[in-house]
Amino acid sequence: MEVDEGSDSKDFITELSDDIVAMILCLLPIKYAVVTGSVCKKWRFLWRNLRKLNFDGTGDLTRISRDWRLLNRKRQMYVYQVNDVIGSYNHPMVEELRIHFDLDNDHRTLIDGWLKFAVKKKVETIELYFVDNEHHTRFLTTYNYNFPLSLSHRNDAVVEIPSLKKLYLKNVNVTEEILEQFLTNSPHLETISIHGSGYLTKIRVSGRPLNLKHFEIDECPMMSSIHLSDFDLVSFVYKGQPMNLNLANLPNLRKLICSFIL
Amino acid sequence: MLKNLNSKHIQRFSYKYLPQFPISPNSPKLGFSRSQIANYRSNFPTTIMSSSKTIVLRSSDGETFEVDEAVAVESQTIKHMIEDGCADTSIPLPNVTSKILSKVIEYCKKHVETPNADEKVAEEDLKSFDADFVKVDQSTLFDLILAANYLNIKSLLDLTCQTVADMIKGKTPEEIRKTFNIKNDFTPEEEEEVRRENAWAFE
Repeated sequence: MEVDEGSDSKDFITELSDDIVAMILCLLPIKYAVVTGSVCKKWRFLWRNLRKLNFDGTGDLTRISRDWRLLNRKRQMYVYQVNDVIGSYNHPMVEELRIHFDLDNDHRTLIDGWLKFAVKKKVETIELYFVDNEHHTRFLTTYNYNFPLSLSHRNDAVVEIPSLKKLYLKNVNVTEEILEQFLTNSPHLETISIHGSGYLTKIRVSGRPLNLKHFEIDECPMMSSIHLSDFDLVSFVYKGQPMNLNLANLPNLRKLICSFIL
Repeated sequence: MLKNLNSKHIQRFSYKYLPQFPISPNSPKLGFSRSQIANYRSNFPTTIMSSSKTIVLRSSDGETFEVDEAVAVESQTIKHMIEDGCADTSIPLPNVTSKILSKVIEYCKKHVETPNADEKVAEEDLKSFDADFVKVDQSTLFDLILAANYLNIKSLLDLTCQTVADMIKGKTPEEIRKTFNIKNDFTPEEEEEVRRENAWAFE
């Protein structure tokens, strides 16, 4: 269909280079980016090689919250779309992988697979938000997906994501051992945000050269003590039950927010 | 419980390299206001401050714009040119017209001059400025994207790209074509094939 009504009906957007259109498509949840593949020949495959994979399921989560019977079907579709995009991904790198949907430990095999794909593609940002429409942390953390203890190319019990810079987890269980592995094996890791994890009781990060700048712990029900000292932390945010907090020698600390919920 | 957290250990501070608070990955880069710079100066007398001077930018159609260095270096491209010593007289920007350059400068000025956006009022003010800034016709919007890309101004690029993304989000292919006046160059068979490949997106 051609519209020819004068100067303001010119097509400006297809003149943009593929790089720039890719930048724009990265800002869309994948589901909307895929639709652009049907618009014109030039855009047919652009969405398939976006470096930032944002599987944002908030639309479906809203629908599910109105009718719980949709949950299983929508889950199946969500998983299908993630697998489809990952399966056909050609580019050697992925900058970001964001999964935002109501998933739990029942789906661990799938999620492990997605994480392995991301690690292989040298991912820099991982966001796993396994929430429902209300965005709450789970009351029973036993249902949470457990972050796997073997994410290295050698398949041994080591979490090794050397490219990782930012990690955002919600309703994912992380053990102290796994957290320790992140700090040791991801030298560029700058941001860690953990919401609603079971297992974590004591966190101690002190006296080593870390790039960690932003650390956030939110509603981890077993948390009893956090000790952070002698590195270049810039911001620390804590929300949860009162616990033993020790912060010392953090010369770059600019932002400190502690919300103790009694 | 909280020991030795003050920042007296800073020996070198330059207001061009700002501490960032990436609470969300898309938060804009914040600028320090003049009063904050003065405040830092008085608290850290031993710090080395970069001096502020003006830079002349020349658009593709020959118009010149004089801007504070602090505003000009919002553009990483210009920042590198200055650092490499290419900015003696004026900086030519052959890819940017005067119309677009004046808008870009307006954007950078506003973002540099807004006091630390932790304050609610300042944050709201900036958001509303940004929202109005992108209320332009498509031709200008895409020129702004190209300029922000060429000048490497991340926050402007994010803002303009997000605006276009919002124009695409939730639309059918036909609606997208209509919005941007894109010609459908698929044959009916091709169109059907693509739609089948990506059926899950249309559910």
